[in-house]
Amino acid sequence: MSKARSSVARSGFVHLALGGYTLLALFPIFLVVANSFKTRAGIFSAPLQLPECGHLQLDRLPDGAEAGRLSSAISRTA
Amino acid sequence: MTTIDATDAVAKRPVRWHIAVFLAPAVLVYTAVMILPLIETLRLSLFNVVDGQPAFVGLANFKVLFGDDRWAISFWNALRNNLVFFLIHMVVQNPIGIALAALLSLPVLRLRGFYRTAIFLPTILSFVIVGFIWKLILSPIWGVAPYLMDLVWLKPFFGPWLGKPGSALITVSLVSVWQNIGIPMMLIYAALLSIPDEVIEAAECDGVTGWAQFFKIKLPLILPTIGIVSILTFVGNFNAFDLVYTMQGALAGPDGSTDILGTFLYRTFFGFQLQVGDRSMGATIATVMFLIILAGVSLYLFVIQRRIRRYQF
Repeated sequence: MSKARSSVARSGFVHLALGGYTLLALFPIFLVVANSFKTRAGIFSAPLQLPECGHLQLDRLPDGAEAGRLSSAISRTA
Repeated sequence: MTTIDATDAVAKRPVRWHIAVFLAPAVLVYTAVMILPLIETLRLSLFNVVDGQPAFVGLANFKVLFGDDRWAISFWNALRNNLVFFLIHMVVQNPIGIALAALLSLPVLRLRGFYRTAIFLPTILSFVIVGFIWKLILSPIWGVAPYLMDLVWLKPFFGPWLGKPGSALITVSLVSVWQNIGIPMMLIYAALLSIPDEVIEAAECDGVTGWAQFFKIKLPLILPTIGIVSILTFVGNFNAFDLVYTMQGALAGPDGSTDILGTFLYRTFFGFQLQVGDRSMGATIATVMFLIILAGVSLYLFVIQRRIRRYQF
């Protein structure tokens, strides 16, 4: 009985440590991806907020409204 | 008699041209893009411009680098910062990498693949993304770090760490640790997985489990891998440049407090703002960096690696 409890505590500790580091590893990446969908004002006023469905700014991504304008955006930066 | 036999054997063996043919592409490409530029850099460090003409000056460039105050202060500052940068990696990155690998290699662990991938993700990101996002997270104006610290009542301890000469180098080093931790973790994880099950079972039969098992059985077995990881960290850190350049710029501010040999070399060789590029002095610094790394790697190969005990199964 005591052995089972200690093994639960042990695996809890392992998941806490690995999960904590996973949060630290993923948080900045989440921030990059989430903010890439927002407007400039949204990025600076609420950096941690998830992009809202109504205000999804897909045109923020490659500086063009549709994927069709992606090539022109790329050629402009090149 | 024996000599005749030996020459006979040599004469009989056909010339093995295929070795040279198969090696040639790699040797040619490597010579063209690595060895010739290296030799050219070493040569350039012995030349300088005298009266508008390139001239052989012997070791005079090195005398200027170590003796002239304008150069020596920057050089020793960069070398000291680089040492601190390396020590922080050795003290923070490698122990955490070992600990994460040890946790990941536990026999019964759910979500193992998820943790492994997630912790390795920062390593595959570009230096530019890592530098910019951490610069923004730590920025007091954008406010992500102060807000998160406020959630756990730590806001009084927040400071503009990247802007203070006392803490900027430590902050940049920790961001580099965050990015590069995947490499020691993966190498040591692989080494831990390759420990035979019989050894672990024998240890368990003898009642060695948990922490004692890690420190008495597994750690001695992965010591050679830890040595390789340390030497990779050493070479990587003394060649480092990109993260400091993206986070603090080529001047490696504030007040040169994050200036490492890579940024010092960049400013000297290519010039920056009002500083005019100086190929000879740049090549001199590159040569010194090369010699430092060569000395470190030789020390490891000839002194430390021979004393690490290896176990074979």
